[in-house]
Amino acid sequence: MNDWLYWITTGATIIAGFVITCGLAQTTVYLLQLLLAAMALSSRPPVARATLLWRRYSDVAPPVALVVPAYNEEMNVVESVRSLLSLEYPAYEVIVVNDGSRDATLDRLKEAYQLRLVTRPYEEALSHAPIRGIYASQLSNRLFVVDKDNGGKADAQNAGINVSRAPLFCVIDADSILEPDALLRAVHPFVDDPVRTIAVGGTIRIANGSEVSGGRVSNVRLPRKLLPLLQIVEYLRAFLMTRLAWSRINTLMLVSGAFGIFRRREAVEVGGFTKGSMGEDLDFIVKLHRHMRDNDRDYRIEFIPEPVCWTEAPESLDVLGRQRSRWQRGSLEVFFRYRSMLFNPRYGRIGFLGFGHIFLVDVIGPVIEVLGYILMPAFWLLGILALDYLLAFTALVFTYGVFISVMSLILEEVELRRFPRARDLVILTGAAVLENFGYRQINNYWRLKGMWQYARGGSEWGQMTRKGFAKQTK
Amino acid sequence: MTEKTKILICDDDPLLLELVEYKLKAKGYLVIRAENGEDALIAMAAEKPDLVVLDAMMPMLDGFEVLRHIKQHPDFAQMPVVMLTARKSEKDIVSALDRGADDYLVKPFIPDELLARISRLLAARR
Amino acid sequence: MLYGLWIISLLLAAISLLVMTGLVAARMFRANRQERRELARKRLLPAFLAFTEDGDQEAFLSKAATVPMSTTVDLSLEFLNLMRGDEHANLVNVLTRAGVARELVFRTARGNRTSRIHAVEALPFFPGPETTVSLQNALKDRSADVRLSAAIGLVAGGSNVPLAELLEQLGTGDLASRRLVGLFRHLPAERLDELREILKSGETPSIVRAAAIEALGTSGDYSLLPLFAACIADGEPEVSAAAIHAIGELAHPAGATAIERALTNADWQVRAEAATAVARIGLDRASGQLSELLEDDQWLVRYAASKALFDLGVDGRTVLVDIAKGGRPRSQRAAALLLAEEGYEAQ
Repeated sequence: MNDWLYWITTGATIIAGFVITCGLAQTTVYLLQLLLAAMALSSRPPVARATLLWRRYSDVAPPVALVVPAYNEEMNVVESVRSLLSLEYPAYEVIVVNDGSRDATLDRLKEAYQLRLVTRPYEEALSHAPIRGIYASQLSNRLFVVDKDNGGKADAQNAGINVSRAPLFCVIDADSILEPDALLRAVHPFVDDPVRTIAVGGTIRIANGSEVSGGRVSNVRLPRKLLPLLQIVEYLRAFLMTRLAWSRINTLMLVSGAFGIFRRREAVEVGGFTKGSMGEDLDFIVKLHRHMRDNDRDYRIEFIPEPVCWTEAPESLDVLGRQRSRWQRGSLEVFFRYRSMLFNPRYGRIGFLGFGHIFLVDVIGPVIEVLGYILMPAFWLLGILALDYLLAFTALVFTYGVFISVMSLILEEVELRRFPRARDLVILTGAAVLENFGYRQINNYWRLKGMWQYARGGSEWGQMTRKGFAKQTK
Repeated sequence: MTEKTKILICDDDPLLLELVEYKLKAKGYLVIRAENGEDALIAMAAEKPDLVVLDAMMPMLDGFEVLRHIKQHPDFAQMPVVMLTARKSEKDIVSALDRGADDYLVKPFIPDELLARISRLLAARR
Repeated sequence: MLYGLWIISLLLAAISLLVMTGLVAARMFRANRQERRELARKRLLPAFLAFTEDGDQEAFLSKAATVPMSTTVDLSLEFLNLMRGDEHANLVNVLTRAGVARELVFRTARGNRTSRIHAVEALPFFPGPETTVSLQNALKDRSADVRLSAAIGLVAGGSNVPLAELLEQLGTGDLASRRLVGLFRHLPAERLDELREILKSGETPSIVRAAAIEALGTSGDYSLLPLFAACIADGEPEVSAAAIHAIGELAHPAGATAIERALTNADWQVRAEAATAVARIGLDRASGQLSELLEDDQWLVRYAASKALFDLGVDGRTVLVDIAKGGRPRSQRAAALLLAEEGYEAQ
């Protein structure tokens, strides 16, 4: 009997040791990121007014093709395209890819922009589901619509890349709102370091609660609902801390699919986006890193902290949960697909920091956190851990969580200051505290669910049906 | 004519609106302002201006599209349109003139030149 | 241990709380200042508008004296960016009297990078010896962006700092910004010789040479042809491509030989540029070579060649139509697609 208890306690202690080690590793990574992000922000290129940007870059900015995959977007595709056609950029074209929508997406476009079927020769550089036709608009010489069989988001993006002729392309979601000067700002690294820059990502912000008029976010406000508010704190942390920090040391692992600019040549070299991928944006960047490092080429994947793209965040637990489970599956998928890069000295920082971070946060993170929640009280019940310690540990975990969130709020406030009122800051602070009680745990549950789905899905890989993409997030 | 000549200016830069409005008012014109393409079309239908000054890069409807709307509309097709924009590429200029723009000025512009061209276009119409 | 844990927790919480209180306080202070600034701006705006109409310097100056300098500077730059011509010049005069130029000179050397770069970019509005001196000082700034903007300002303002020296100060090396093209384009015609020297120098990094060619290409100076032709033989594809593109841009028949030779260049980018150049200078006799390129391994070369044939006019189009009717499969496809894209029906 005693023997049995002994083994349980030893086992539990070992697991606890593991949990604590991982926790410490995560803590260190966060601190490192904070430091790097602060450095990056303090030395970032100056934010200029649009007229100044125009004067500075309009003569030398390379042409860009906007690739906009659309699946069942009949509700807002016309409006989205309209706002894309009025961006401030000297030379760009908009290529909407209708990914075999089952609703009237194509008809709406045809009607609104007087599309007519054209022949547009293009190179079959990337493979994708067959294109049924390419349309040009009689209203704008900048708009093209590619109509193709359904093949998923990555497939649609590949088709768009094929048809594009500009040296750079920009992928955006059909349901997000771009700042009018987004392209001009984001193209900056391609102008200033044209040899090495192969990809640039921008900050995605949550538009819930803000006033949107005329296809632009006109008045930035905090959402009234709790769930989007908590996501705002989350996004600030993800973009202003993690991505900025990793970009500073050229280890950026993710350029969001909602807004990213890429050099076409390298994108084609790696075979475009991986089809049937859950997290095709993460997958793509990892592929680019691997490709460039395998070929010993000097390159940069940059991130610019100015908000360039606004998106509507899910407002219901149900939808948010599905989104998070899907993100989790995406991370796992990429992690296991490119697992040979983990801690592989050949890939340097990408292998150690980038992949290490994915491993720590996305692969074992959710498990560790749950183990922590279970073990700590269990130890106390078993009498291994005194109540005092239990409380102290718990307090530490939570105050540290709050601390990290608050630090990313500092980055926002000192450098970007996009929330207009002082009151917003107080509310955000509240959200940063609140986030640790409940939201963080639910999030963790969704991620575990994602892991479970991934583990189960692995066996039935072949017959995965593609339902398209956009509306799953809605 | 007892009624003043009405001019609609459409641009998303508030300072430009201020400047052009001030200049036009000093010359005795009546000025209507719009900050984006859609407002411009609404204002046009309501106010029936005698001439329009149009920016190219604006929210919602860009200037080129507003121009097309104007030139295709039976009531407005004869109304002179002056493009005033930072877009200075040959392609943009040609495409605007093709669509029926009556004049094209590039920013930064000479205010007196804008006024002169406006009064010339208005005189030609009478 | 237990004590330590609690202390850390409390410390973290305290820091978080303190920081946020500080931020909110700072924000309230800033919001207040912002409000005052906007009021000041509203007060000053009519003065600007009135000045553009009546040119009364004294009235403007007395109004400007009532608002903070930063407001005057901000509004000045917006106005100067908006207009050109006489009214612009008048505005520059009165603003110099109001001390805006002096303030900008001061800002080029102080403050954070953002403020320095704004000042350096705005200073060229106020030409004069002081501007030149402070832009020259800004060439030694530790930020590359500031240095580049200063160099562009100097060149645009007609300063005589040798180009080679400017480039050295910029320290661009192999990783030059594309804004160099902008810098080169600002060079007045009589200084283009300096750019030629840079182009000829074996030490110039290829990206700088490509930028120089790109800038020279729009100059319309036919005497550049031999130099460009020599650059095609350059080892770097990007330089060769830029050179052949520039020859096309010059559109002078004397470029024919160089273009014809480039049509068989080993690098596909050069071949594609050469095909486009053929159409630009209207080199009808190259249509045979162009139709050979319809078999090229690179799609872009095939496309450029078919487009060039089409753009050559009647003769080229006849060739294209013939190939579309019965050429080798690859050529036939390229020709047919291009004709379809252009919506061209053979008679």
